[in-house]
Amino acid sequence: MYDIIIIGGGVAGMQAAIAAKKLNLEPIILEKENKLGGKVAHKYSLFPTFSSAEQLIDRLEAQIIENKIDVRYHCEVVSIHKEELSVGYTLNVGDIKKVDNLQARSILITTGYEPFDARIKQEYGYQVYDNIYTSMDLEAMMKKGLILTKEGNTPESIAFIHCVGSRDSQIGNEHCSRVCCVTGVKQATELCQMIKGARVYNFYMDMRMFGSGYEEMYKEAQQNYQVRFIRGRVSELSQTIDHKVRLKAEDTLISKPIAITVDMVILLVGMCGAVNNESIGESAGLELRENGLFKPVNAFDSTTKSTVNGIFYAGCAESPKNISESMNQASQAILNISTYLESK
Amino acid sequence: MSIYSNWSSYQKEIAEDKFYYARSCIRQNFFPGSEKAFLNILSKNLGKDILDDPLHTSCSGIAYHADILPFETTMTMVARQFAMMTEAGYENFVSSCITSFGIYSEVLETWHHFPEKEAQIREMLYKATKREFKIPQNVAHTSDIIFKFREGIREKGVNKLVNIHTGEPLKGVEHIGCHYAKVFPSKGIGGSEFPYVLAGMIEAWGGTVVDYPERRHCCGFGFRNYLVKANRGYSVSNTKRKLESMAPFQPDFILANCPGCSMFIDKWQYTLKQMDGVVYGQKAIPVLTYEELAGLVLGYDPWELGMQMHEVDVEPLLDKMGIKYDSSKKYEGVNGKKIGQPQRWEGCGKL
Repeated sequence: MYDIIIIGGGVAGMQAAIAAKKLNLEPIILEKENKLGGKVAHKYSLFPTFSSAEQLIDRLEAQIIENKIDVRYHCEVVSIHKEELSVGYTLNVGDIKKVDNLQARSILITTGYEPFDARIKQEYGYQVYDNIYTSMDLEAMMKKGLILTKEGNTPESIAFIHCVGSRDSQIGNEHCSRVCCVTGVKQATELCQMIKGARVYNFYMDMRMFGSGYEEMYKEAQQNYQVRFIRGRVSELSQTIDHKVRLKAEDTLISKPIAITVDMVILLVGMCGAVNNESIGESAGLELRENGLFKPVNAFDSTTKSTVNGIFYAGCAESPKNISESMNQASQAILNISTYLESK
Repeated sequence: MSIYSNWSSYQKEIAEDKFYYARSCIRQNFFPGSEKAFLNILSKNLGKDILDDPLHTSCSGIAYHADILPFETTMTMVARQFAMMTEAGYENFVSSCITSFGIYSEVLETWHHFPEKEAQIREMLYKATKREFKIPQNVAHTSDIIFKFREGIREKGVNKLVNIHTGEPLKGVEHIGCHYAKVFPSKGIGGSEFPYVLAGMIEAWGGTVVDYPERRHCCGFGFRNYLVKANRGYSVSNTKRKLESMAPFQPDFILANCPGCSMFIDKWQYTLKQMDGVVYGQKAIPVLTYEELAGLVLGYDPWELGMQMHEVDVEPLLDKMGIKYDSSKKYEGVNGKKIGQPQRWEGCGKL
């Protein structure tokens, strides 16, 4: 029997598995995709260093291989049986679905997050109008090295809209996703580096530069790349006849309505609970936050502990975090699991 | 959560039959055939019971929005309208004017949250007129009613919003009055962000809706912008902004559901020609009320619908739809009396 089932092979899950091995515990990772890395694996670069996301995943993956950690791919966990600490999952390979069960001495939930479905904010016209993309879409474009409009042109003007699906009571998402602000600064800077002479706008509510080096990035984006930061919510986007995007907003610092036309709009989408959080939570009697993420025992010294014995959390499954916070919490979770297993 | 689950909050219940009709103060001058067409469409084409009561008055909305009357006076006048409806034995109130619709919605919402206000107004109405009233079961704007019966109108219709020369759907710009859904979004079909009341008609009758950047922008009418002469430039500039935005899409017509919008988007096209020398569209863009458009679909004579009163000629649209009309009778009144002709310009008459 494994000591720990780690649900989700993102950076938190990978770090947790490596830390567990160092404490002589036997973990297994259940990953729904065909590769490790979670959302970070889909990113082009990381803030605040602009270093490669792929290199971080490669480093972690090398340790997973070196430590001979078991990983099962294509495993979508749908339930947890809390009495016997077993996990119910569906093995999805092609069209074949196989339902299976796995038991362990403890369970660590590192299911991460689901990006906000930007179609819900219908006024932003995602998948209705051309040349409107999410921050996730932009990372994929950057990975390919092709930043092009639908017509195949290099965009000369790009607007970022912050807090799409975050801090928005209209759609019931009151929480702050924390990392979207700095993602907007990172991506704006990168677009200026990639496209010479690009005019880049960021429409924001507040700039929450909470991490080390973030404020410096924000300053550099303004001073070195002339990224224009405009405090104000965008009311609606619409398409011009030549497939550009017309954007209306209010600049709340000067109390004036503004309207600009840009070649491309990037929606900085927030974090929501992973798709199966609800069914996992219901089956195991775990409490979810209103945003669909898991609620720990308390917000200070037990953020990795659930209200159910033997079930723990780490990473964005618990609350929105950056990469270093997720990985640190994963290490902390393993320490707590080790203590729990020793006490049994 | 379904991604479109919030759409449910944009739906609206509209009564099926037995309507008490409240006319607009200004529409009978601006578009004199529209209200009559509405009554005919409902009673003759659709077989509905609708009362055109000569006893009702203005809702006082213009005075309210111009800061001439206090809200209590407006509420008492609205209470009298409801008393007229109650005495006539009706429960479904239909307003022809967008501002009135906003006023009725605002008064009912006020009474819902402040029942003591309703009690006070009931007392004031009784002291002044000895009348009492019931709250309407359903309050709708006339465009809601046409929207509700749009499929029935299509089935009984003889014309479609299709260009008979090309077979292509005609392109319609829909313009929603601010007092329809921007005051109380839940009272309008599609709310303030996705109003569907006019778009639904255009689509049902064979046309396509033009989605252009300034689609949701106000026409600029605004009582304060129009009543105060010095502010009229603001009104014109808003309409200009809309026309400039829609013109590249080459719309065949504009459809509006507000008396002020219909009037000013039509008339300001002449004004803008005189001010800037610009004509939007090939020969300006005809502006229609929803009753006029429904009337054309149902085969009403355009001059019977009062369309000769438009600043911008509707003939290019009639030709595209294949509607026959007698040009010689355009400026004849009901008894063949000449009603006068507007000044000729690119948008009206042959130069």
